[in-house]
Amino acid sequence: MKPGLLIIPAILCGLLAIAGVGYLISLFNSLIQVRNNIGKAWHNIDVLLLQRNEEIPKLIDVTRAYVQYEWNVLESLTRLRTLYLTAGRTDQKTKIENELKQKMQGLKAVWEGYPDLKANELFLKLQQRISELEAAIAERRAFFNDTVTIYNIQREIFPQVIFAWMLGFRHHPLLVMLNEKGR
Amino acid sequence: MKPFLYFTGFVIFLFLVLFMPYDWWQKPPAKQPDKLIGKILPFLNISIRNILLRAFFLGFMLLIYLLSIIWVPIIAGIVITGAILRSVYLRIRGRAAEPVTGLIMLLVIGSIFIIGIIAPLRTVPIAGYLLLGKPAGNFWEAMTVGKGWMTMDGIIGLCGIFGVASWMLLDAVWRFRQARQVENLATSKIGALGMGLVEIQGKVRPVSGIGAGSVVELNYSMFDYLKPEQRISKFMLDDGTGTVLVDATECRVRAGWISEVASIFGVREIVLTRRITRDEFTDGVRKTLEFGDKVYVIGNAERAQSGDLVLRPASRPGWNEVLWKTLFGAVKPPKGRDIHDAFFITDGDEKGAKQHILKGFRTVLSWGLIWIISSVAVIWTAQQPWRQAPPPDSWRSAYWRGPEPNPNPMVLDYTRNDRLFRFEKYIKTVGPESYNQIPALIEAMAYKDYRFYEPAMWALIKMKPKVKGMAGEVVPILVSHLHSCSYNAKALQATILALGRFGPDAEEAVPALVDQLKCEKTDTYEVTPNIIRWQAARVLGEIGPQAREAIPDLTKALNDSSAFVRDAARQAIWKIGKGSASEDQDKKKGPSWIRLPRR
Repeated sequence: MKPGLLIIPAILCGLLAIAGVGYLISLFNSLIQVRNNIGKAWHNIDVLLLQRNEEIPKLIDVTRAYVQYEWNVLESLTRLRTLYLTAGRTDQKTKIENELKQKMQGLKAVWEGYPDLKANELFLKLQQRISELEAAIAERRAFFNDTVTIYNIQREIFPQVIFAWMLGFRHHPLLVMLNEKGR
Repeated sequence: MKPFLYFTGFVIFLFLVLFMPYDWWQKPPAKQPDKLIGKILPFLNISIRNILLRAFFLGFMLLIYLLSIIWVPIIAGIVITGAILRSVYLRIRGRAAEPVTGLIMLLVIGSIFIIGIIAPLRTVPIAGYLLLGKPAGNFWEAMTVGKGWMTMDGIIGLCGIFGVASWMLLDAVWRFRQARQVENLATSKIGALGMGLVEIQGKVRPVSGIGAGSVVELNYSMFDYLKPEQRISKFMLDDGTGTVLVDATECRVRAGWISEVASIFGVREIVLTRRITRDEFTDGVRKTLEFGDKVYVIGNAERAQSGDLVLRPASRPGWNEVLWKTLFGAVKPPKGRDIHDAFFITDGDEKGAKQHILKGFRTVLSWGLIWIISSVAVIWTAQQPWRQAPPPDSWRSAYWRGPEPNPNPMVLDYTRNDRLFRFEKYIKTVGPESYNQIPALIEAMAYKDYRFYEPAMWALIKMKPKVKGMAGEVVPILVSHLHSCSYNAKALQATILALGRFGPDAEEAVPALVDQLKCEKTDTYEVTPNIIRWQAARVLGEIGPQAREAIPDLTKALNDSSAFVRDAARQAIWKIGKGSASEDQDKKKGPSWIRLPRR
C-alpha cells in the first residue's frame, strides 16, 4: 500500500479509538454526575431535615415531663439525632433519617397514650412546626428519591456496573415516606 | 449564448416550481397515504415541489455565500487585528481588556476554521474531474490540476479535519452530554427547586397579567433557510408547586438540518414540534410556543439580581475565552454555575426531549463525519501524481473539453492555444521508437490545423517500420490533408513525404498526388512548387505499379521546367513500369521494356 493511502485507515482507526475512549469517558462522567446529583439533592433536603432535627430535643423535653415508661424511645431519638449530625456520607445520613422517622412514628404512638401531653400548648406548637417541615421535606423527598433511583439504576446496568465496581460505588438507600414503615 | 441558455433554463425551472398547480403530490404524503408519493416514498413528509424549492433556494444562497466567503477571512482578519490593537492600547493605559493571547489564538483558529470550511467544496471539482475522466482545458482542470492546488488542498484538508470537523465533533459531544443530562437528572418540583442544573416540566404562563399569543416564534421561508427569524420572550413555568421565570432569550430555535449546520455551535436549543404551520406555496414554516403549552426544560436555576429564581443558560465569560476553554480544556467554572451548562426546551415530554437532542447529535455528527471524509479525500488526492500536472496527452479529444483547434492561425483563441501549447510540449517527448504514441499521432494528424498534423507527420515518418503496417488507418487521413499547394506548402510537403513511407500501400493517394504534379504556386519560398511536384512524382514512384493511372501525368512531367521533377518523373515511370513489367512478365512469361522519352 502506498504511504499516501495509509492516511485513510490511520485516520479512521484514530477516530474509532477516540470514539471508544470518549464513550468510556462519558460513562465514567455520567456515573460521577449521578453520584454528585445525590449530594446536590441531599443538600436541597438537608436544610429542612436539620431544621426539623433542631425541634426534636425540644419535643423530647416536653414529652419527657409526661411519659413514665417509654424512655427508650426518647433516648433512641436523641441518639439518632446526634448520629445524624456526625454522619458524613449521604447514604449513612439517609439510613439514620429513615430510622429516625421510624422512631418518630413510635413517639407518635406514645403520645396517643397521654391525653394531657396532647393538650400541652408548647407540644402542639412543636408538633405543628414539625408537621410543616415534614410537608416541605416530603416535597423534596420525591426529587431526592428519583435522583437516587437514577444513580442506583446507572450503577447496576452494563457497562457502568464495571466502573461502579471499580470505583466502589455502593447501593444508595431511598428516603422512606413517613407512614411507609414503622406501622 | 450558453450563459443565456443556462439563465433561461433556470428561469423556466423556477417558474415551473413556483407556479405548479396544487395537486395531491404537493401535500405531505403522510396525509395522502393512498397516493403515489406516499406509496413510493412513505418516509418523505414533504412535497416534491417544496423539495425542489428548497434545493433551488438553498443552492442560490450557498452560491451567494460561496462568493462572499472570499471576503470573510479579510474582514475577520481586519476586525480581530483591530481588537488586538485595541486590547494592547487598553492594557498600556492600564485598563481592562480582552486577553491578547486569546485574540491572537482566535485569529489563528478562525483562519484554520475558515480554510477548513472549504474542504467539502473542494471535493466537488476534484470528484467532477475524476468522474468526467480528467477533462482537460476547462473549469474542472483549472480547479483541480496544478502544484499550487496540491499544496493548497493539503492545507485545506488538514484545516478541515483539525478545524471544522473537530469543532463539529466537539459540538456533537456537547449534544451527547446534554442527552445524558436528560437521563441523569430527576425532575425537580419548582416549589422545592435547588440551585444549579435542573430538569423541570410544567406549563407556560405569562410573566405578568394575562398572556396571549406566543412566547417563542420561529419563521422561515424559501429566502432564509440558513438564517430563520426567531422571537423569544421570557415566560413563567408553572408545575403546580410554584412558578419560575424562564429566560431563554439567548437560545436558538431549531429550524431543521439546514440551520443546524449553519449554526453548528448552538447547544442551547428550543425544539418546537406541537404548533407548526406550513405554507405550501412559499415553503414557509412557523413554529410557536404559546401560553398554556406543556414544556420540558433543562437549565441552570439561579437567583437573579432581584432575588427571584430564574432558569436560564449558565452565564458564560467572553466568547473568546469560551473558545479558548473549549479548545484547551475547560477551567474551573465560575462559582455558582454548573459545568455542564446544558440548556434545552421542548414542547414535549422527557422522552421526546432526549430524542430531539439525539437527533441534533446525529445531524452534527454526520456533518462532522462528512467533513472528515471530504478532508481526508482532499488530502489523499493532493498526494496523487495526476494532481501535479495535466496528463501529457491532455490535448487529445478524450480529455479536451475546450474548443476544437481552428485551422486558421489568424483566429485568436487562448483556449485553443493552450491545447496547442500542450501538444507542442507533448510532441517533444515522442521519439522514433515511441510506437505506443502512434494512435495519438494519428489523432493529431486528423486535426485540420497544420500545427497539429504537421509535427505529428514528421514524428510518424521517423517510425517507418512500425507505421508501415498501419496504412489502412493513416493513409486516408494523409490523403485528406493533400490540399492545394498554394496554401501551407510546408504541411503539404510533410504529408507527401509521409505518404511515401507507405509505398504501394498508399495507392489511395494516387489521384491526389497527381493533382500535386500540377502545383504552380506555393505560399512559402522554403517549399517551392518545384519541390512539391518533385516530391509528388517521387512518391508516385514509391507507390509503384499501383500508381499506373498516374503515368500520363508523369509523362507530361517529363517536360517539366525543373530537372529534379523531370528526373523524378522518369524514375517514377520507370519504377511503375518496372513493377508492371514484372507483373507482365509473370503473366506473359517474358520481360517488357518501356522507353522513357528524353527531352
